[in-house]
Amino acid sequence: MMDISKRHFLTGCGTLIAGISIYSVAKELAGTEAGTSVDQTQIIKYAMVHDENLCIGCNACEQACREVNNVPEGVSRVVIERTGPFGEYPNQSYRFSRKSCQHCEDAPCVKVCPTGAAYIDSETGIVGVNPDKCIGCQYCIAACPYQIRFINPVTQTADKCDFCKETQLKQGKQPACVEACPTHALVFGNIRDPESELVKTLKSKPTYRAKTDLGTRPKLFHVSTIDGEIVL
Amino acid sequence: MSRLSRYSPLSPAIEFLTILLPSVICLALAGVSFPVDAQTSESMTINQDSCMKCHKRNGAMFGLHANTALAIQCQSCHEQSGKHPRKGSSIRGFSSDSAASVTEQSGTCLECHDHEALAMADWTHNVHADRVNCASCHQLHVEYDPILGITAKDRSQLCRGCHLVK
Amino acid sequence: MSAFHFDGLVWHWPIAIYLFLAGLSAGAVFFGILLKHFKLGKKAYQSRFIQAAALIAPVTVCAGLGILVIDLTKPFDFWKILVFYNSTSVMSMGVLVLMVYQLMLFAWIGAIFCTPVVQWCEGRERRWSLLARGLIKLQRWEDVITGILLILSLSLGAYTGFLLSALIGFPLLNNPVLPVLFLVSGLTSGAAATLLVGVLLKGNPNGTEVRFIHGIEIPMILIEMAILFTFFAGLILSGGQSQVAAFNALGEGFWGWIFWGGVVGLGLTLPLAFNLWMKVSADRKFAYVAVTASFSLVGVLLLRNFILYTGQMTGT
Repeated sequence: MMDISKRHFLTGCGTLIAGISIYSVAKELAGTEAGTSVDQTQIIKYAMVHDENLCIGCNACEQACREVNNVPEGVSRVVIERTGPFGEYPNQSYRFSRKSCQHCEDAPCVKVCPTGAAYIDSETGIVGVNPDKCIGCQYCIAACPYQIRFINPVTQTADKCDFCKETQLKQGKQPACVEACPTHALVFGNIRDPESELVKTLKSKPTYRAKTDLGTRPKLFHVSTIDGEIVL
Repeated sequence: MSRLSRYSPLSPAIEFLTILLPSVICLALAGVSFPVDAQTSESMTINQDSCMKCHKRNGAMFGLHANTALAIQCQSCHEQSGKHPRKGSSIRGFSSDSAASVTEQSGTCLECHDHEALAMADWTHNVHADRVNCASCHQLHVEYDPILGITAKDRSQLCRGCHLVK
Repeated sequence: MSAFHFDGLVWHWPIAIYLFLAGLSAGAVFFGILLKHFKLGKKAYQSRFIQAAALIAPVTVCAGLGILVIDLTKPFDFWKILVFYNSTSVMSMGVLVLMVYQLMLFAWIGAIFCTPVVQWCEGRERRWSLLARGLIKLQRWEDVITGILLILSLSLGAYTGFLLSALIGFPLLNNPVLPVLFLVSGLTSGAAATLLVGVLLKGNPNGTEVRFIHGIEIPMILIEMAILFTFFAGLILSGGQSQVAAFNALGEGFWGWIFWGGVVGLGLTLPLAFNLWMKVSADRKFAYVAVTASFSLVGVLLLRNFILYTGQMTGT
C-alpha cells in the first residue's frame, strides 16, 4: 500500500515540476518578450536629452506638463531637482537635474506589473500605463529604481511621464516640457534617426544616464553641469 | 523757594539744575523711545516728502516700506535730490534704464536686507545677486508686491521673460 | 522622517502582515503534511494539531489575500489580477500559485477529513451523500494532492521573498538570500501557529505531534539564524549601497531595536532556549508550548516588518 501511495506522491511532484519546466522553455523558444530584448527592426525609439548647463530651474517644464496632461496638484510627472548653492557670494550657482521617466529599454516596472498595465509601446519604445488594467498594487512604483512613478490621486492608477504620448505626440507636436523650456535645455527625438536634433546633440555633447549599472538601459540622457557656467 | 530748601541750604543755581536735569533726561528718553523724527517739520511720513510735489502718482509709497516704524524716506533709497531734475544729480533710479549700476542698485536694498536671509527665502536671489537689479522682479511702491503671492505658473513664465533663447 | 514615514516608502505594514500570513499558511500546511505522513497516518484527522493546521492554513491565506485587496488603490478592480497575467511578474505568477494552492489546500483538507465527514453525512439528505461520494473520490487522489500541495506550499513560502527581491532599486531587498530567509521563517511561523492553536484546541502538549514538530523546529531555528547571518554578511561584503543599507537597517534606531530585540532575541533566541530546555526536561507543559510558539510568531511578524521597511529605506 505504501508503495502505491509513494508512487502517487512522486507522480504528483514530478508532473508539477515537469509542467512548469516545459512551459518556461516553450515560452523562451517562442520568441522575444516585450522589454527584455532589443528589436533591431524598430524604426522609432524616442529619447530625450536634458542639458543641465542650459537648465535654469524655472520649472516651466513641470507647469506645462501639468497643464497639458491634467496632472493634479501635489504630484508631478517631471521634477527638476536643485542642488546647491555652489561657490561664494555673489558668484553662486546651482545644479539642476531632471527627474522623470527614463523609458528604459529593459524596464523593471514593465517586468513586475501583474496585469500588464505597464507596457512598452512597440512602435515608439515609450513605456506606457494602461489605466484600465491597473489595479493599484504599486509594485511598479516600488520596482522603479528612479522613483519617478506615483499614484494619480484622481484616477487612482499608476502615472508617470509618457513623453506626451496621449496628448502632444498625437497632434504631431513635441512634448509639452520641450516646447515650454525657454532655454532649449530639452531635446526630444528619435534616437534611430541620424538626422534628428536628438542624435546630433548626443554626438556633440558628452552625456550620461542615471543608474546604468542596474541594466535598465534608460533613454533619458543628461549633459552634466559645468559649475559656474552662465548661459544666457 | 521750593520745598527742597527745607532740607538743605542750596544755592539757587544748583537748585535750578536739580529740577531741570531730570526733566531734560526724561525728555531725551522720550525722544529716543519714540523713533519718529519729530525734530524736522519736513518729513513726518514718506508720503509727505517734498518729492511728492512733482511725483504725486509714481512716488506714492503704499507698500511695506511706507511703514512709519521703518522711518524710510525717499532719500533713503533714491539718494539726495541735489540738482534733480537738472542733469548731474546723484539721484538713483531703480530700473534697467537707470544710470546707477546693478551693484549700486542692489546695494541699496542690501543695506537693510541680509543676502543670506534673502537666499533662505528664495534661491533665485543668489544667482542674480550682482547681475540683475532688484526692481526687475520687485515693486516696492505698490501696496502688495506682486511677486510675493506669485503662482508657480506665473513664476516660471517670469524667468522666461529674460532667459528666453530664440 | 520617521521609522514609518520616509521618502521612497511604497509598501506599508499591511503588506508585511500579508507576507507573514502567506508564509504562515505555507508553513502550517507543510507541517500538517509532515505530521500526517510521518507520524499519524490514516487517523490524522483525530489529532488536534492536524485540525489546527487545517483551520489555520485556509483562514490565514484568505485573510492575507483580503488585506492585499483592501490595500489596492482600486480594490474593486482586483479581479483583473486573476484574469490578466504577466509571466515576468513575480506577483502575477504568485497569484497563479496561490490560486492552485488554495484549490489543492481545500482538496487536501477534504481528503483528510473524508472519514469523519462521510460518517456525519450518513443518514442525511441526498445532497450530503453527494458530498460524501465526492470526498471519497478525492481521498483516492490524496497522495497526488499531497505531493502537489507540498511543492506549492514551499513555492508560496519562497514566493514572498522573490516578490521583494525583484525590486532592483532597493539593495537590501534585491538579494538572492531573501527568498530562502522568507521560506524558512515562514515554515517556523507555520509550525509555531500549528502548535499554538493545537494546544489551545486542547491538544496534548506532551504528545507525539509536539515532540515531532519541536524536533524539526530546533534545527530550523539554527538554520534561520545562519541564513540571517549570511544575508547581512553578504550585504556588508558587497560594499557600496548594499553595505549602507545593511548598516542602516541593523544600526542604532527604531528598526535596529526591532531586529536585535524582537527578531533575534524574542523570535529566535528565546524559542531556541525554551525548546532546548523542554527537550532536556522531557516534560512539556501547555504554558511553555504556547509561550514559545507565541514568541516565535511575534518574531517572524517583526522580521517581515523589519525587512519591508528597512529594505525601502535605502535606494541604489
